[in-house]
Amino acid sequence: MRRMSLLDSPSQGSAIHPAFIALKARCESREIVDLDAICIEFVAAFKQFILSYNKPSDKAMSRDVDALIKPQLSYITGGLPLPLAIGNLVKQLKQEINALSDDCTEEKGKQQLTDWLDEFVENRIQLAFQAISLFTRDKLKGAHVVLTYSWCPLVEQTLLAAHEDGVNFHVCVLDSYPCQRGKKLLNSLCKADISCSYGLITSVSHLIKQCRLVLLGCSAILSNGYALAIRGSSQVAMVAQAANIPVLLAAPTYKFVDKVQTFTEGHRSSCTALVSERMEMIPADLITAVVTELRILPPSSAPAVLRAKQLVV
Amino acid sequence: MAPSTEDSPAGIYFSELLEKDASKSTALAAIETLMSTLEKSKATTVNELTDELKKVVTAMQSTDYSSTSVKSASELFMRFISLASLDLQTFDECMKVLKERGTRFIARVAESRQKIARFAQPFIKNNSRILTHSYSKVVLEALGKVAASGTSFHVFVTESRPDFSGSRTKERLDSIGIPCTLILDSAVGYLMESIDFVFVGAEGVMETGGIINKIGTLGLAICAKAMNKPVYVMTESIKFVKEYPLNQQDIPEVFKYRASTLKENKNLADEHPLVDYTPPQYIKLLFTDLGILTPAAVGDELIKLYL
Repeated sequence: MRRMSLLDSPSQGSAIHPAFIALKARCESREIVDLDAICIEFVAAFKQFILSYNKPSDKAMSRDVDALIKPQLSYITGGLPLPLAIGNLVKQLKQEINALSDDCTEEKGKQQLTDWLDEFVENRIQLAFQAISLFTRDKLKGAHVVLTYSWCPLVEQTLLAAHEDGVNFHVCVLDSYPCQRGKKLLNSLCKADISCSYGLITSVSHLIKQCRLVLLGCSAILSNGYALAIRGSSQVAMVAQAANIPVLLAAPTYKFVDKVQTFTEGHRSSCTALVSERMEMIPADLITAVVTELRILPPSSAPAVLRAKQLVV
Repeated sequence: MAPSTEDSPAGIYFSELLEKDASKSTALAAIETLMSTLEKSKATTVNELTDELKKVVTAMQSTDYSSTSVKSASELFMRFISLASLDLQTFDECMKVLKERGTRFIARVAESRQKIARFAQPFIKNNSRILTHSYSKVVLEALGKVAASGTSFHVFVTESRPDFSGSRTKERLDSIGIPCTLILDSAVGYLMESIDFVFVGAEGVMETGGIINKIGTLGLAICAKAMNKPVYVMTESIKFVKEYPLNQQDIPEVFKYRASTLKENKNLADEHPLVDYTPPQYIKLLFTDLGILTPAAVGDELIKLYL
């Protein structure tokens, strides 16, 4: 697969905004890794793009912005699909842009769009994370040993918050080569004085016997209840199910997408833009519960969340 | 403020309702108690009224009747009567609307058992062999109605220790004239191969689509699944609870033990739980007044009910 290099020039005429160039570079160099972090950076880049936009006097803002976004997005994606949750965000943003009235001023239009982006990050990401931490904390109270895999900022925040609230638990961090992201989680948990152990994913069958709960992150939840997560997650979920241990998936509602897929397709389509890791599917029957900011749900309730959040396309 | 106990007037009223009519659903009694509190209330503001009703719920939960049913029914009743904006002129008009809604809610709930019985009718054919567990008023009413319509079937009911509630079921079935056999709890495995399907009630339906019911239900359901016998749950929609147990240990304690046991501060490790949690994968269908639902649909219905 040919990777787009930084020296590739964008399509003729339209200049790519430096914020997007920086975003792509940072993602490719793995400075930003998890989907939640990428999403926040993506929104920040978009905000800069909108703020630096100059509306021509003869065109309506909504149509103009819409046309300008296309080359920016195709630069970022470089022919690959956008990660599902970010694709969702872009669809909603485009709807918001189209909703701008034809006669709105540049000031007002920019204000509206940046407000929407700010609200998205605040409500759907930051506050959602807090709500998910609270819901998960109640389940952590009964489970004295928790197993988690690799690094997910939401899982990290949940564990740290629960520990601060006085819940007592031990964390088993599983990790895999070559990225060894689990070490990042291990570092922050140890700094907070949480009792941890560390193992490679090959030792999952041994470690699962000590655990009472498995907590995983994900990058998308499909409408049939299947989850998209980093490679290795479904292995952990399968072993947990065999050992009769409940599997909890932390997923804010912005990650719910109106798409159905039951297996990870071939090599090419499992690569997405911006996200450097390869993803895989976790089947719905391996997931005991999905923790969202609305409530704890069974994976089969994914369509209900899509309806509630009007994410159905 | 005096602490609410089961000796408070509300608690006594609630217990009396259930003692007088053995076939009354715990959930319905809870709602009727709330309704009577609403009618007798001397509150002058909505907040005062809500506080009063909340105290009544606490009083009912401290009796030894099924805490799950009381909790879910009360929560749904409170939501139903306060649904939609209440920006009316005076508190009196407000009360009128609340009372009217309360009466409608009770009427709806009272009909739910008949609806469930109607749904169950096509599933029970002549010469069916049905297995049931413990004592469930909903299941009894449904079986009674189906038998009255002329279908003949045989019911096997487990003794259901520690309170032998299965024998109460046998008494009721005998009095209606339905052929019934009382079996040991441990005989379920032996009998399952000759059973056609399993009917159980539920004390509470969880957000997962699973149920909380008298202890022994889980074993029965697993056995039925292993032998490919469908398990049907009969329950009114007022028993839908906003809880998500992940496993048996995750069942909230107020559901597992009687209120009196919890009050005595005993070491709960020595106490035997009264209920167990049957996860949704062992349940085929749920017969409710909202319709015949799959366990997956329960999550959707709950979102609608509690929206």
